Amino acid sequence: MEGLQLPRCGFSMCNLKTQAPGLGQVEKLRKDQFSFARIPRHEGRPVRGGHAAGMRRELDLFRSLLLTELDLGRYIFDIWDLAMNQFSLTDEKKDFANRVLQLARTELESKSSVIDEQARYPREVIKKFAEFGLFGLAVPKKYGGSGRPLLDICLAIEQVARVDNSAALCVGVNVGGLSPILQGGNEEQKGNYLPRIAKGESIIGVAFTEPEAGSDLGSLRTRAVRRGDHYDINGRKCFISNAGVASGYSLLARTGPGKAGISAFILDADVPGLEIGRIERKMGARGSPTGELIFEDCKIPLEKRLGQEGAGFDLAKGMLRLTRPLIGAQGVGLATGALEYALEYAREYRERLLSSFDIIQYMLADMAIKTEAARQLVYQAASLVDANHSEASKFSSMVKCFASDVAMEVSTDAIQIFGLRGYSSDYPVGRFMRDAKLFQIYEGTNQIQRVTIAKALLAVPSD
Amino acid sequence: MTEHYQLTSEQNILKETVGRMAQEKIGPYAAEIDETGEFPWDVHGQLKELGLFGLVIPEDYGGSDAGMLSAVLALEEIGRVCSSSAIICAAPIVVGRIILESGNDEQKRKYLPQIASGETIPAFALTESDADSDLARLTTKADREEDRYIINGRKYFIPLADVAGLMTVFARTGQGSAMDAVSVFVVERENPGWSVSRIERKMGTQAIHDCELIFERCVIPEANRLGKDGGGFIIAMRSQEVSCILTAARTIGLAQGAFDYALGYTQERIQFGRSISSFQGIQFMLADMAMQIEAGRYLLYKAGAEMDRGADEGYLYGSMAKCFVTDMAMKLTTDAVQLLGGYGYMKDHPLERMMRDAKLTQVVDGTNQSRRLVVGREILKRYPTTV
Repeated sequence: MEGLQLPRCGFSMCNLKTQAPGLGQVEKLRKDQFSFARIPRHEGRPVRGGHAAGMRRELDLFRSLLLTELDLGRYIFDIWDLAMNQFSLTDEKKDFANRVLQLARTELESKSSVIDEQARYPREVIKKFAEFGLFGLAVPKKYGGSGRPLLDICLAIEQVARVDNSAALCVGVNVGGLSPILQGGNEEQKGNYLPRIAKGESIIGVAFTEPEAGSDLGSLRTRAVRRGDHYDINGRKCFISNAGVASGYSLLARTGPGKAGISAFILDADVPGLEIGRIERKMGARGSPTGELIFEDCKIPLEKRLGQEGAGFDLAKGMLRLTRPLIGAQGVGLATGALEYALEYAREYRERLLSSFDIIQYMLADMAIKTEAARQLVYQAASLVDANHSEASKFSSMVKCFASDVAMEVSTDAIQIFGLRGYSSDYPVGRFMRDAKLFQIYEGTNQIQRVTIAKALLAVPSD
Repeated sequence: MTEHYQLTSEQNILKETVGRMAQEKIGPYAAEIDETGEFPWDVHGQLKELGLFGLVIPEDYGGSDAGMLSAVLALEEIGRVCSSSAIICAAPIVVGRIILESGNDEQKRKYLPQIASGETIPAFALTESDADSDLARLTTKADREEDRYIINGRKYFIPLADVAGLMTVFARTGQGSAMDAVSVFVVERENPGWSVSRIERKMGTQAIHDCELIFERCVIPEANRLGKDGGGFIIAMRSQEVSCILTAARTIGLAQGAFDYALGYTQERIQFGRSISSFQGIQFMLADMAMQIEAGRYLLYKAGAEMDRGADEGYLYGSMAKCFVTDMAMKLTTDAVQLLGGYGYMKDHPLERMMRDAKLTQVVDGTNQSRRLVVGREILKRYPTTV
């Protein structure tokens, strides 16, 4: 089979010649249809042939490689599935997202403004979310979760954020909090914590930020000093989401100098020496508590350390890779929600707005365009993270920055369309704008994201 | 699990191949054809050889039937080096699709193979001075005389008409509303009674001549009418969707090309003893440019994929992508010139050309303002939404 051609790649122009795959490679080919791109190839003369013909010939190729009928069927299904759904959500995903949207609307639509006004942590909603399984999305099936890819988690958070951003934040923080355990924990730690987190019995927070270490995690000061079978923790964490309501936190503390001296721990809320400091009064996201953690000779047993000493910084980076697309998704959801309110208003008051309806329509169009661009970028970034692509980190930063800027712009414009009514607390768009501001700031300000993106751009020579 | 949010391997290979060809074979001509303003037959030959004119034309008619998303990728890569050349590649896709969707078997057999092979350059003649893209005000008339039509009128800003072998011409065939009084004809070069009366002098994409056309008793056999008499409105709308996406495609390439150039420059340029890319002010500009490009790119791919599925969504997403990408490219190329400082303004570097080319994309295929009206109308129609 010398000079075997892979016509699927040749439907338009390249006549690909490769070594015939050995039977060992067949398994690999079957598993990953994208592996074609990795087969060594050289250029040839242009050939003609259609998509359909390409597919037919490819199937012939696979037949010649002795695939069983079952495999072949699965393969045809894969190609078909892809053709039908490229750059689109599968029906399964759409259905899942719609169910989450339904849940969020049922549970939150009527009470979001009260939650916001009273700055109340909505336990009853969290309970419903837990029953639905929203806290187990990122937890592998083995530990009682549903082990969904990041794209699905993004979809879920987007839908919740369309209705209420405090609640979306609660879901997002959960993913952030469990990520260090998932990535750095040993079997015992995982088995101990993840099932409870997945069920929503344990709410978990992320205890990274300090007064002097925000976007610059490398300069954190909270100390963990090893004494026999435990660590003594001293220091202070601030702006910690879920402070006071969480039953545990993923904690970063310093066990030595430099970035390599940062270690990660599971911090149980009931350990002695941990005190919840003040709970912040905030502009938005008021249904999600943010507060201080104060450590005074707080004792954490040795077995609560995640990974080796010094693994903390990498675990934090691993977490950010997941949570940044989630913030992007939250931004997209928020923008969508704000846009929906604006659309509803524009339709309802079409008569009254008539004199300026054109300009309103332009504004609505711009809001929709930006939101949609952000949405596609979020799905792309999530898909790259799921595929463990080398560009995933850069895209994570891009999407966090882009989508949160879009959320801010769109929600600001939504108020503008409502006019003075939008400024009143009787309408939800004001809350959306206040909530949006947070996204530009937390998990690394958008300024630091831009520095990160630029570093990634400048490290790779432009082609 | 299949990764739906990524290009397939064949799409990646297509993109890579066209990209390499464009860098090697088209890029070197870009400045020259902008300068001379002559139609680049060499480039046309290269595109022809690669079979890029038949991307959306079925195999049976000599095309490769690769789909709209693949066409988007090809145009993106050509647009990276030369916007004018990308237009040469876009025209057969637009006209090919019109004929494919509206033509009868005989018309398809007659026209599609010559378009797909690149033997004939097609043009698309809709715009008039008063009508612009507003079909209701079309004044060019096609009067029926037995088994033929007599076309009289003028068309403005028709790209490629001077080199085209055939044109799809929109003309009024009745009195009523444009919805059912406009028809489309294939006018061939040999058909008597039409001429190019003037070639516009313009700001950018110099190699593509925008022509003013005069039709004086231009006689067209009935067999050259596409679709039914009075069926032109839908065809015009559909073709505008396609050209929107294609314009966005070459423009995302334009933005990427300008960005790549500026990025490379900032790393080499030394000021105050260090490369200017080490200044955070510059880094912020670069980061913003990169984000805008990626967001535009995936909005565009989404639009292409939707169009391949034949969904109504293609129209909405196409308009969105066109607005977003072209506005972004205008701002981006302006900033890219800025990053090069005085050099950016000079013709020794490609950025001033790219900035001039970018402006066209905001006004062509229905200005971005009229696209926004479409988007606004569509989203109002679709509300309330689910996922």
